[in-house]
Amino acid sequence: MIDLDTGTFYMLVGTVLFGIGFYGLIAYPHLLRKILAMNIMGIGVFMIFIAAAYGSGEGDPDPVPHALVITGIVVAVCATGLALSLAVQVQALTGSPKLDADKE
Amino acid sequence: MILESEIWLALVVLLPLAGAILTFMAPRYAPQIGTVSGVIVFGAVVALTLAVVESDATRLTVGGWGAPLGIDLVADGLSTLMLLMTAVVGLAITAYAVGYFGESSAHKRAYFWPLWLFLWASMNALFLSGDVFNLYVTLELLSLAAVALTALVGQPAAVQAAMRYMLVGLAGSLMYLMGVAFLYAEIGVLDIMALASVSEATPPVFVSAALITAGLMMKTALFPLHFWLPPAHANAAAPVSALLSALVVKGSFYILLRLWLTVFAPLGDTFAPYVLSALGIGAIIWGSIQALRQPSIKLLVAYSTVAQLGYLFLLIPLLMDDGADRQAVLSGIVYFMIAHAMAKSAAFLSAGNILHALGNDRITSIIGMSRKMPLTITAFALAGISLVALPPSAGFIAKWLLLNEAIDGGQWLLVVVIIAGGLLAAGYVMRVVGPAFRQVADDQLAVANPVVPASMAWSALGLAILAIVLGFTGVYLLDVLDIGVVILTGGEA
Amino acid sequence: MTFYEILLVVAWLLPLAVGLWQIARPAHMLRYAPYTAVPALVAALAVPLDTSFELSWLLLGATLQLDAMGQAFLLFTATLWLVSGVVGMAYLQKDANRPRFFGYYMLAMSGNFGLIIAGDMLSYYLWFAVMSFASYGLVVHTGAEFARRAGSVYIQLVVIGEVLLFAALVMIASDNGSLLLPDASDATISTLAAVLVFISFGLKAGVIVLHVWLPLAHPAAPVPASAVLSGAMIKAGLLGWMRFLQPAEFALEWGEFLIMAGLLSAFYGALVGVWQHDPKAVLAYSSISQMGLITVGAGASLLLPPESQPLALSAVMLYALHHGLAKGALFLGVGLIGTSRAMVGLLFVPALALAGLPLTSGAVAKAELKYAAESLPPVWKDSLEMLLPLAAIGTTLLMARFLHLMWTRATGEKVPHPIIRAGVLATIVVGLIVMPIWSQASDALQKSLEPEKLWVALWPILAGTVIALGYGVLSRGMPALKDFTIAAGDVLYPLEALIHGLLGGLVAVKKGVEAVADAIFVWAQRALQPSEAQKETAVALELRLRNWTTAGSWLLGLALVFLLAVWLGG
Repeated sequence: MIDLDTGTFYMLVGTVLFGIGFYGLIAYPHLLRKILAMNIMGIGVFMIFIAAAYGSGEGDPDPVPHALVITGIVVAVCATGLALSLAVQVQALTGSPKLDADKE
Repeated sequence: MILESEIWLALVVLLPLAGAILTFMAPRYAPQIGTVSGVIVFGAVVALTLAVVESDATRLTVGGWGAPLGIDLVADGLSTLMLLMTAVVGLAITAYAVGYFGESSAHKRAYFWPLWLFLWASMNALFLSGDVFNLYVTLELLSLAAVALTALVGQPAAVQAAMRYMLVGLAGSLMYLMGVAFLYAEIGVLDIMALASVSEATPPVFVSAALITAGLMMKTALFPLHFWLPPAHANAAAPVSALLSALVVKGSFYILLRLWLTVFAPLGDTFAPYVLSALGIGAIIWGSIQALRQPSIKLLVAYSTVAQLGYLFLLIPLLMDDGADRQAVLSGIVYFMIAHAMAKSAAFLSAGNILHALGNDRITSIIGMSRKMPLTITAFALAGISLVALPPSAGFIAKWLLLNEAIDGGQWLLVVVIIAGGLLAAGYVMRVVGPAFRQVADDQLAVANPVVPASMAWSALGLAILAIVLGFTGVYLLDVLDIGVVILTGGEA
Repeated sequence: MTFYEILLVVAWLLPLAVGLWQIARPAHMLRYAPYTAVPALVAALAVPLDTSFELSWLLLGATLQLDAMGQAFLLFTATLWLVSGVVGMAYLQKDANRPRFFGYYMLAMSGNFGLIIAGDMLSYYLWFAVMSFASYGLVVHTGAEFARRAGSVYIQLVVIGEVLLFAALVMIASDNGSLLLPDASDATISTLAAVLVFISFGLKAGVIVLHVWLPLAHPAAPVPASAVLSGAMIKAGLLGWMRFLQPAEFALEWGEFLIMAGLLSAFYGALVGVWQHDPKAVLAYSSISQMGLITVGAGASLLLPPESQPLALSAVMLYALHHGLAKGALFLGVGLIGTSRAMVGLLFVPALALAGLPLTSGAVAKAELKYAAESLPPVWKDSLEMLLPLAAIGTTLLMARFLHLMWTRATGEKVPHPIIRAGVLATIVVGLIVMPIWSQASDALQKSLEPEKLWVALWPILAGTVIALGYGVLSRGMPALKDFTIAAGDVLYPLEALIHGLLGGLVAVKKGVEAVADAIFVWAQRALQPSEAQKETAVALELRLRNWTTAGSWLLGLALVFLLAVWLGG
């Protein structure tokens, strides 16, 4: 087995989550899925920040990334809200939850 | 100065923010409050510029917290010029919007003003941000305001375009943030100058550079990631199109420029700058070809933006080359940004006038309109002169600076592209200007008596005249650019 | 800024400002239009020589200067613009488009002044462009079929000239790292740049083969515009040569080349011009011929050793001054067509001056030119000694032709407009008076009055007159001779046929290239989107990009390309 310390492990998980989110964004035409995929990407990024705060695990964790993550979550919530309301508008105006160019 | 020069740094962010909140709370008086806010913000930016010119680059530690937990605002020559560019275009768009939204529904009027002032505030904050995380926040705020403004028209095409724009914005900023996370994990600081002084060519920095550059490229609509721009810019309301095309794309490009000059300077001798340059060439050619094929004026102008953005990336290899005159290359690029901002906003505002007066913006509808709407057509023609870079115009000076550096650097391919790009631009500009100046009898005009409100006609013309006049007064602006240390060589602070 | 510096800036910007205002708000400032030339005239007379200063805020730092050459040029240029403007107000009195005419008039004027006082290449180029493009409005003013055709030939050549000049400018600037005019800096000019400079300015100066637009455009414009086109603006090309070619690589060879080109133009203009039936066309060909003689002076200045160079330069200045005023008077004089013979008789004065009658400005200028030629290497000295009098015969014949055409049309039906009459008179008087008092001319005047010089000046005029009279007698009996003419524009017509042939070839090549490009597009379209083959290819490709899967893949791909690019180093 590969020997992983905690920080590196969370960093890998964060990267994988980001990748999964990115795949969801580009692969599925349904807007709701895209928005959820974005949120998964965001969580991946936050995970990396947390891993950076942990550092090598010795001493106190770095407080700065926590502040960044909290700010990031606030921004993500706002963005998700706007994206959801736009998606609802798209559904209402075009009768479809997908963008024209993404329809098969 | 009555006020400390650092105070202006805070005011240019706070004032539009206050205006936004006021217009939101009192929608009935939104145009009045918005106009007054626009003038005040413009004044504050001018005051900040004077302060910076007088007393060199300034830094404000907001609330006295200081890095790393606090937020620092920094104004050097580059940021000041960007603020000034935003303020000038912003003021003209404010004047235009008074006329434009004067007749539209109360709903649109109520939302345009707060969103526009929010956008202005986040734009200003972006240019003043001194650390990479703050840049992320402002970039995201900028996107949110821009997306909401795009959707304001409410038509299906506009809402779809806004939705796509939203997803692009989110994906781009998340890639950027991912890059920042890697950078922080590797280096442990966020301040740009601090990062620049310690960053080295290590794998995490490579990954970070790739993520940040790709994300920002998409937000700057660099070919072939420009797919979201034409529908968004062409379907939005005219003043919104103007500020999206003239200003918002410059925000993400500014970050790209700033970071490559500092944090990623150690990667300057890799192939990466050449990749950007190659994509720039692609953008000029592809954007121009598309512009030559569009049936409507706004789409044509939007594709022209795709093409013109290519010029910004063209000389990145020389910008990163220690052997070249990097300050001169930067001057060329920045001047191009400014020239494009003036010309493109003028072009979109006049396209908006045409749409307003004729009910559509098909190129076939404007045949013979130069007699009926001389101010608007003149504005478009003058903006076109600057886009084609005919002398004397700001576009000419910008291309002259770029051309000179390309020749000095022996980059003959770029010389050919710059010149060919001008010819292509002449082609698509003439597609509009030519028919407009054709002489036809009155009964063959699409609309016999088109009406354009004076504030709309004159603000478009004002920007267009500025696009020409800036061709005469280049030196002062370039002097401002020299304030503060903008270019770092080889990662030394 | 000192007073003189402000004066120079005003001289050049006032016509621009008023001209722009005039175009924006027609008729507003109309009555002041001609007088916007006054500050330039004052500047030419008052500003001390070798004033030079920088306007750092303008362009990339513009330099304005007034050297001896600039002063001479500014003097006659400003005079002509002023007088022609005043005359033009009267001449175009009933023209509904008069406001538009004067809008372009002032823009062209500003460009003309600007290039004379320009001290750097970028300014020279810009103001040359402003002048050239604005005068298109003057050429096509009447809107007649002939004017439109002249305008289209003119504007095509202007654009070509601008492009070539720009290319030359970029080359010179990047070779020297300076934007100052080559003659004012220690610049060197490569041969290619010199060729481009020669062609682009040669187009304006009407040097042979590049002259084809001139006999069309100069006569097509209304009388006051013809006067400034032929008297003032034509000299901008000459000034360009003097400013740019001085330090050229192979300057000596350029000197010889200019002398030959000048002589060819001088004779060619005369030989074709005498067969014209339109008085303005005769004058236009005379301009080609006279510009040829000035070109000889410009060539001599490159060829001469440095210590004798001032002689040639002073010859060029005097000749430019003399020709500007005399030709201006003659063109304005065409406005007197149809009036009495006494009026037309006035025009004998500038006509004889052009031919070089002793005591006139022409004699002074020619004497100076000959004087300069004496310091040339023997082969040039001898051939010029022989050829210059022959050129004077040609000029005499042209003038005889012109006066004959005016004389036969002097029916006395029309009463001359007092302002036009006064304008012609004023130009003549200025031309007569200004030459002797011109500081450098006093010496030249005495030189021209030496007995042997007198005879050299006189005999070509006598010979020309005899030939003209002989031709008159001869043609009375031979209508075919009388009606013989060469279409204005002469070699333009065979050239056009040639160009059309070449274009036909190009179109065929273009079609071939398009076919190949289309094939590639069709192939690309099939490869990416076989179902929508009928859609327009590029637009279809573009729409395809909007699909999120495609776009996202591009994004990921480019991010990876970047990663590779930074990882692999450079």
